[in-house]
Amino acid sequence: MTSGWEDQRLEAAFAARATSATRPIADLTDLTIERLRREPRPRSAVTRLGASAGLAAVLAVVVIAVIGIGFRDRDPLASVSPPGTATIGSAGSPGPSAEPASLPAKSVGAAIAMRDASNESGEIRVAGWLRGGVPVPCPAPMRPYNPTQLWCPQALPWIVESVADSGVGRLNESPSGPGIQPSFALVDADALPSLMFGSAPPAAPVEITVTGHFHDRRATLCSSPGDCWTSFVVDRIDSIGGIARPVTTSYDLAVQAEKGTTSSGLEIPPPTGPAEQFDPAVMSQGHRLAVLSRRVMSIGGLVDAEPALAGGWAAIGTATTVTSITAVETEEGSGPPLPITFLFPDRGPQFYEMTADGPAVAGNLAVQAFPDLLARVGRPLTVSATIERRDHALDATELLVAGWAWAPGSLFCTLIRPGEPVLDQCPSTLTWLADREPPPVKGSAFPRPDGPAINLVIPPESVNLARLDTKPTQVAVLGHFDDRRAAACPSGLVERCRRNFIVDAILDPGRLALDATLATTVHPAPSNIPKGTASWAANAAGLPGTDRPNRLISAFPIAVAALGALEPDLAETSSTAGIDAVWLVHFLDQDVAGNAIVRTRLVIDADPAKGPAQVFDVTADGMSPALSAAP
Amino acid sequence: MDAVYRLTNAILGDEADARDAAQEAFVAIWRQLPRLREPERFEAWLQRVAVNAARMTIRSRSRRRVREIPSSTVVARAERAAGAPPDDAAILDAALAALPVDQRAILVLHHLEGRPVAELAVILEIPEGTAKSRLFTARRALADAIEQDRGHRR
Repeated sequence: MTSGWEDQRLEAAFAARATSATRPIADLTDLTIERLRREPRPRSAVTRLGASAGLAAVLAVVVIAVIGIGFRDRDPLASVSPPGTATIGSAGSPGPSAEPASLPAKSVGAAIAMRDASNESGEIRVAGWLRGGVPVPCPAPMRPYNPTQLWCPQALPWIVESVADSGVGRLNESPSGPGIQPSFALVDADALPSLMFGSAPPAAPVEITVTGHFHDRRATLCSSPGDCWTSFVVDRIDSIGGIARPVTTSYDLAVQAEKGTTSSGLEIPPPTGPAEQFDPAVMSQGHRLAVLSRRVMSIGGLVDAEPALAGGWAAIGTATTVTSITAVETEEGSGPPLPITFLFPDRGPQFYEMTADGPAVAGNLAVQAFPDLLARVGRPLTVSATIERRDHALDATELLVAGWAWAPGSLFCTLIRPGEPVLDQCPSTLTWLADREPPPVKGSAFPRPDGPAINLVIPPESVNLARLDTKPTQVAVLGHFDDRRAAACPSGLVERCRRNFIVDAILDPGRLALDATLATTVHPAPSNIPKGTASWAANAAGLPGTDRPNRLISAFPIAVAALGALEPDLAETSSTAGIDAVWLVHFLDQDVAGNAIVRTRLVIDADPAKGPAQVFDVTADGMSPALSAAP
Repeated sequence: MDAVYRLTNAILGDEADARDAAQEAFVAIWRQLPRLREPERFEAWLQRVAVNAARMTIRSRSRRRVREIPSSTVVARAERAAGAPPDDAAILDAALAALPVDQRAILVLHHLEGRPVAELAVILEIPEGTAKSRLFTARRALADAIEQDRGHRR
C-alpha cells in the first residue's frame, strides 16, 4: 500500500466514506416492492426461505437475513458455497480473455448448470458432440417465428456431452446424458452436416464447438416463453469435426443476396457491400466488442429474427435488406460477456443496437469520404477480418483496414537486410495495426497489441504517413498482401513476405481520401535533379489530372542507382542502362477480376519538352512497355 | 435492503447508480430465490448478486453515456475544487473512481465488509489464489490512483 495508507487507515476511510453517503432507503424499499409486484411470481421461492407472505415479506426476509447474519459476524467459510461454478467472463474467468475464441469451452453439463444457476444471457462456449435429429414428418412452421423457439424439436439435432450419451441407434430417444437442443436459427446452419436434421439410420455424432447463450431477450415474445427462456441460441459455430471456422455471414432463407431475388421471386436489390464492411462500426462501439456472426436479411427475414419488429420499424426507410451483426463484449471484469446485436439497414446513414425495447440508434455510418475511394476498395475492414482474408484468401487485392496504429519512432535497427522492401524486419516488426487500443505501457516500453493485430510493412514509396505516431492512433490503412516483390525475398522467406501487409497510405479515418498533393511530393529525395515533374510523370503513366483523385498513390523520382531498394528486380536492367533517374508511379487500378490492386509504372526521366516519355509496367515478371499509358 | 445499498453505493460511489443497482439486485434475488439450494449460504449469495448488479449498472451507465450526477457528488467536487483540504474519505472516493468496477468490488468487500481472502473467493466465485492476487493488484492500483490524485492536487 502507498506510504501512510496502511490497512487501518484504509478501512477507516472506507467506513467514513460509507457513512457519509446519503441513504434514501425508505423510498427505495417502496419502489423495489412496487417493482417486484410486477414480476412473475417465482415458484417455491418463498417456501425455500420458510416465509409464506407476499412480496413485502420476501423483501423483509431478505433484509432480516442480511441484518441477522451480520456483515462482520460471518458464517465460517465451510458454510458458504464452494468455488467452481464461475460465470464466463465474470471475475471467475482467468487471464485477459479478449477473443470470443478464448472463452473457455464448457462441457454440455457445465453449460446446463450455468443455465440453471442464473438468468444471465452471457455467452457460453460449449464443446460437445452434435447428434442428429430423428426423421419425422414436421408441419410447416407457423408464424411468427422466434429464434428461441424450436419447431418440431424431434427433427432437430442435439449437442451432447459424449458419444456414449448420444442415444444414437435408439430412434425417438433423447440422449441418455447431458444434452441441449440448440437453435441454429441465427447462424449459417448450412455449415452443419445435413444428416443432422434427421436421417435413417441416424448419422454418427460429430465434434462441435459453438458459442451462444441461454435466456435470450426474444424468449418473452415466444408462444412458450418458459421453454424459449432455456433455449440455447447459437451465435457462432466455432468448429465442426475439429476444424475451426472463421466468422461467417449467413443469409436468411428469403434472401439470396448474390442473385438479388427472394424465393418468392420478388426482386430485392443486393446489399451495397459485403457484410464485413460494418465490422469497424461495431468495433467503434467500444466495450472491446468482437464479432461473432453476421446475417443478411430481407425485411421478412428481419422480422423472423427479431420478432419485436413485427409491428413495423419506421427507421427502416427504403432499405430492402438489413445486415445484423452479433458481437460479444470481451472487456474483462465488466460482467458476463453479453451478446449485442447491431442492425444496419442497407443504404441507411445510421445503425442500431437491438434491445428488448426495440432498436436504439447506436451510431452514424456517414464518414467524410471521397466516394470513389470507397467504391474502389470498399468500406474499411477490421484487422481481424483482414487476418481472416490473409489466412483464407491470400491475394494482392487492395484493402482499407481501420484500427489503431503505432510505430516505434526513432529507433536504431540492427541486422537489416537491405533491398528487401516487403520483408518484415525492424522497424516493421514493431509497427502495429490492431483492432483495439493497446494497454498503456510505462517508460520507454513499446506498446504491445491486445487482440488481433498485424505488423505494418512500410516500403519507401508509401505516402500519407502523417497519421502514424508512436502513440496509438486511430487510422485507416490502405495496403495489400501478396506484394509482387515477395518473390525477391530471400529463399525460404517468400511465403512469409507474401503474408506481410504492405502499406500504401495511412489515412485519417474521418477523411478517407488519398491526398494528391502529398502524392506528387518528391519522396524519397533523389540523388540527382530530375528533368521531369511529378505531374508530367503521372500524365505519362496514364493518369491525367482528372483521373488522379483517390487513384494516384504516389509519383516520385529516384536515382537508378537506388532503384534496387524499392524494386529489387529492377536493380540491373537493360532498360535503365545509362539512365540517371526514373519516376515510379503507383496508382489504384483493377485486375481482370475487377479487384482493386496497386499498379506500378516506371517512367524514364526526361525533359517534358523533348518528345514522348518512355513508360513501363512493373510487374512480377519485370518491366514491359506500358501499352495503356499515355503517349 | 440497507446492506445491499451500502455495498452497491460503496462500489459505485454514486447515489443514483447505487439505487438502481440495489433495486436490480433485489429483482434478481426475487427471481433466483427458487434456485437457492441452501439458505444458510444466503449471505455470500446476496453479496455476489449485489456485486453483479453493480457491474451491470456500470456497464449500462457506460452504454447510456449520459447519467445523472447527484447533488452530493457535485457539492463534494465543488468543495474539492475550491481547495478544501480533502479528508481520507474524499481521497479514497476520488481514487476508487479511477479503478475498474471489479477492483472496487474486491476492495469494498475486503476493507469495508471485512471479508477475508477465502470468503472473497467464494463470493466472487474465483479460486482463493486468484482472489489473493486480484486483491493485491487492486490495492496496488488504488495506491497508484491515490498517488496520481495527490499529484494533481499539488
